[in-house]
Amino acid sequence: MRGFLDTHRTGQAVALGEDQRPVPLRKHAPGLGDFIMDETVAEYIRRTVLKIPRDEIKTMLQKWGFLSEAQLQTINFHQLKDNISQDVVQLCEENSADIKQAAVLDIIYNYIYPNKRVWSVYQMNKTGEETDFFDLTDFKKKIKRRLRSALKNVTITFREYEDNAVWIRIAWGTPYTKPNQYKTSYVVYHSQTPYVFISASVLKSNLPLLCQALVVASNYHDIREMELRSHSLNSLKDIVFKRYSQNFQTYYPKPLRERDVAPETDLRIIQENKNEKERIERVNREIFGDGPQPKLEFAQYKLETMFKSDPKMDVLDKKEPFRCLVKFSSPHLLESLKSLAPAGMADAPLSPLLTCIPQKARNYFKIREKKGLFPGSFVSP
Amino acid sequence: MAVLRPFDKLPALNSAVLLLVSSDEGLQQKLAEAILREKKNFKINIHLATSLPLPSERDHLRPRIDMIVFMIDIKSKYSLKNVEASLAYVDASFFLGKVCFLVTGVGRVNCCSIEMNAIWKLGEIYSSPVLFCELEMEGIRVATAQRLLRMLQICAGHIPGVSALSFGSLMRSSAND
Amino acid sequence: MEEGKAYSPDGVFAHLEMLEARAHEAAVKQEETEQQEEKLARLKARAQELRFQRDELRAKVELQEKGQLGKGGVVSDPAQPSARAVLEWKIKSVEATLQVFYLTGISGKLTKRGVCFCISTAYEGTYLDSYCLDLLIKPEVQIHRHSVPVFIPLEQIAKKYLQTDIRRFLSVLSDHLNAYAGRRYQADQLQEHFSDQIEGTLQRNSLCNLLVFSYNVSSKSKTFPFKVRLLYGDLCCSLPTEVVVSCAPDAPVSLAETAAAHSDLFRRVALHKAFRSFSSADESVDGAP
Repeated sequence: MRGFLDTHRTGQAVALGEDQRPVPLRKHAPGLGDFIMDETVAEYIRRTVLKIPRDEIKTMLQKWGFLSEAQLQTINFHQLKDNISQDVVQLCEENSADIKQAAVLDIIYNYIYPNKRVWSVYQMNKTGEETDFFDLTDFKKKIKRRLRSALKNVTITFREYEDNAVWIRIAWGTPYTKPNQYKTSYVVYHSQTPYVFISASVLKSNLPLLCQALVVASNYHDIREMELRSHSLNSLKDIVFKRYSQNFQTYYPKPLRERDVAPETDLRIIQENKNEKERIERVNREIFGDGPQPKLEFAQYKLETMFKSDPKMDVLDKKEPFRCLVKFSSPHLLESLKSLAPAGMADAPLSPLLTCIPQKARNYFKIREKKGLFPGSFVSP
Repeated sequence: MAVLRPFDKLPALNSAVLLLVSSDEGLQQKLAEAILREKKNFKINIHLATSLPLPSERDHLRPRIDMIVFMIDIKSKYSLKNVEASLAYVDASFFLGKVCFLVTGVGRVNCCSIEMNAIWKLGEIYSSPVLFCELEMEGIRVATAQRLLRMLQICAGHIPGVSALSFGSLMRSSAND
Repeated sequence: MEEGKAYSPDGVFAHLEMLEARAHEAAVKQEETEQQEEKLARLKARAQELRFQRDELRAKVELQEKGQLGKGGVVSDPAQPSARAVLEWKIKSVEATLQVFYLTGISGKLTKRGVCFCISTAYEGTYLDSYCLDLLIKPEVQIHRHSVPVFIPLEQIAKKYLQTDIRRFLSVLSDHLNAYAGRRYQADQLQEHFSDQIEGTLQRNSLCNLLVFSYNVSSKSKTFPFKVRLLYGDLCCSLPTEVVVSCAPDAPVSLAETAAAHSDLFRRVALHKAFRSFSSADESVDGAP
C-alpha cells in the first residue's frame, strides 16, 4: 500500500499514462508516515470547492491540473457538494498539496467568476517615452520582492492567461502572523498598459503597498484610482481599452448582413409617431452605437453647487454649497440608459453627463459650481 | 399645435378609425391586435400614438378619427401625466361620447401607484366613461376588445338610432345610479 | 335544441353563454381566414410585381451585354436615363470609390465636427484589424475618441505630429499599428500551426515586442530544445532587432551551427515562415538517405 501511494505521488507531476493504472486507494490511514497536509490548506481547498457550482467542479479541477485524471475519476460528482469537497481534500492530501496549489485553484475560480468581486480601475503614469519590453519573469520577481520585503508573510500567486493578462492573488499577513487566505486581493494586469484592475481585500491598509509594488514592477511612476468600478471585469476592460462599440463614421465596408425581413405588421395598424421614433433611434445609435454596452451597476454624481434662488426670497441663500448625491443603479446601467428614450421615459438625446460614462471611463462624478451645471439640468423625467 | 377635431374630415364609407393613446407601446400593440382579431362587418384602422398632439406632417394622411381611447397604466404615474397633458389637444366636441379612459393593470392593485380618485375625477371632468381592465389576461383582453369595438361602432354611426352622445349619457346615468 | 339541453344543466343563461362563446369562436375563425385570404392576395400581387421587376432588369442586362459585344463598350441607351438616375449613379460610384480607399490602409470621412479616420492593417497580403480615430478640427486638431489599443504610444505620436503634420501623424500611427498587427499575426500563426514543435507556452506581451519560447530540434534521432528570445526594438517593424537562440550546453556542436542559422532566419523572415522552412528542411533531410 505504501508503494502504491508513492508511485502515485511521483506520477502526478507528469500526469500522463495514468488512465491505465488501477484506481488508487482513496482512503488511507493517517499516520503512515505520509506528509500531513496543513489543516488550513485542507479547509481552504474544501471551501473553494464548495463555492463552485456542482456541475462545474470537474472541469475546474481539470483546469487546475493538480489531481490526475485517474484521481478525478474516483470522485463521484453526483453526490452532495459537501461530500465531493471531502473527497477532493482527501486526494489533495495524497498529493500533499500546499497553499500554493490551493491558491491556484482560487485564481481559477475567480477567473471564471470575476463578477463575484468588485473591481476598481487604477491608472498609472510615466514621464519618459522609453518603450518597455515587459518581461513577465522580471515583473513577477519585482512584485514578490517588494511585497515580501515589507511583510514577511504573504502568499503571492501568479497565473497568466492567453489575452496577455496576468492574474495576481495576494493573501496578506504581517511579519508576525500568517497570511489570511480568506481576505485576498486580486490584481489583473495586461502587460504594457497603464491600467490595473484591482479587487482589493477587506484589509485596506495594504493597498498603498500593493500599488507601489505594481508601479515599480511595471516601470511606471505613479498610480491613481480612476473612479470606475463594477462587478464586471470584462466591461471595465472594454471601457478602458476602448473596445466597446463606439459607432465610428467611416466608409469602411460593414460586413454584409442578411437583411432581416421586418415582421409583417398589420396594415390596419398605423404608427403615428413613426418619424419621432426613427429620430430617437438614430440619435440613440449615434450615442450608444450598435453593439452591447459595457456592464456597470451604478453611476454616482455628487453635487456641490450653490443653491440659486430669488435674491428677494431669503430662503437658503447662503454661501454654503447645496450638497446632494444622485445615484443611478441598475443591473445593467448603460443598457437601461440606452433604452430610456426608446421607451418614452426620457428625451433623446440624453444628457451628456449620463452618456459620457464609457468615454470618460468613470462612473463616480463630482459636479462643482465652476462648470455651470445645476442639478435640474440633467435629470430627465 | 393642432387640436384634434371629430368632424373636420369626411367619413369614409363603411369604416371606422380608432386612436389609441398610450405611453406603453407593447400593451397598446397587444390591444390593437386583439381588436383586429374580432369579427366585424366594417373596415377598421387603428392609429397608435404615444401622446397628443399628433405629428402635423401626417395630418393630410390621417382619416377622420371616430373615437379616442386613452390608456392609463395603474402602475405608472407617468402614464396618467401623459394622458392629462394630451387631453389639452382634444377638441371639446370629442367629449360628447367619443372619448374613453381605459385603466390597465387592474389585476395588480398592490403595485398601484395612481390614486383611484384621480382617475374618477378625470372621468367626471371630461364626462367620459372609465373602463377598467387587465390586458395581460387573455380573457379580459378579448372582452375589452369587444367592448371597445362596440363603442367604436356607435361612435362611427354604424348603429342606427344610437348616437355617441346618447350612448354616453346612457352610460353616465347608469353609473350614477 | 335537444342536444343543447343535454349540455346545459345550469339553466338558460349558462346555455346562452356557451352559445355566445361558440359563436364568438366561429366568428374569430372566420375573421382569421378572411385576413389570411387578404394577405395571400396581397403577397401574390407583390410577388407579381417583383417578378415583373426582375424581368425588366434581366432584359436590361441582356441588352447591355449585346451592346458591349457588338460595339465594344459604347452603349447607345434606347431610353436616355433621367438626370436624377445619372446623379444617383454618380453618387453610388463615388461612394464605392471612397469605400475602396480602405484597401489603401487609411481612409477618412467628414463628420459634423471634424473627420473620422480609419486605419486598416494588413500583413503580407492578409487584412487584419482596423482602428478608428475621431478627430475634432476646431479650435485645434484633437483626438475626440479612438479605438487604438492602449499600449500603442498614441499620445506620444500625437504630441509630435498632430498639430503640425497630420499626414505624418497618420502614417506614423499606421506604421505602428501595422507593425503591431504583423507581430501579433506571426505569433498567432506560430501558435496555431506549430504548437506541436513548441514546448510549453509562447510568452509574449501586449505589444508583441518580446517573444520567448522554446522549440524542439531533432538531430540524430534525438531532440534538443532551443530557447528563443526575440526582441523587436523598432516598434514600426515586424521583424526582430535582437534574436537569441540558445541550446543546452550538452548539445552536439553541429546544433550550435543550426542555432546560428535559425537565428539568422528569424531576423530576416516572418516567424511562421521560418518555422515552415525548418519543417520542410527536416523532411528533405529525413527523406535523403
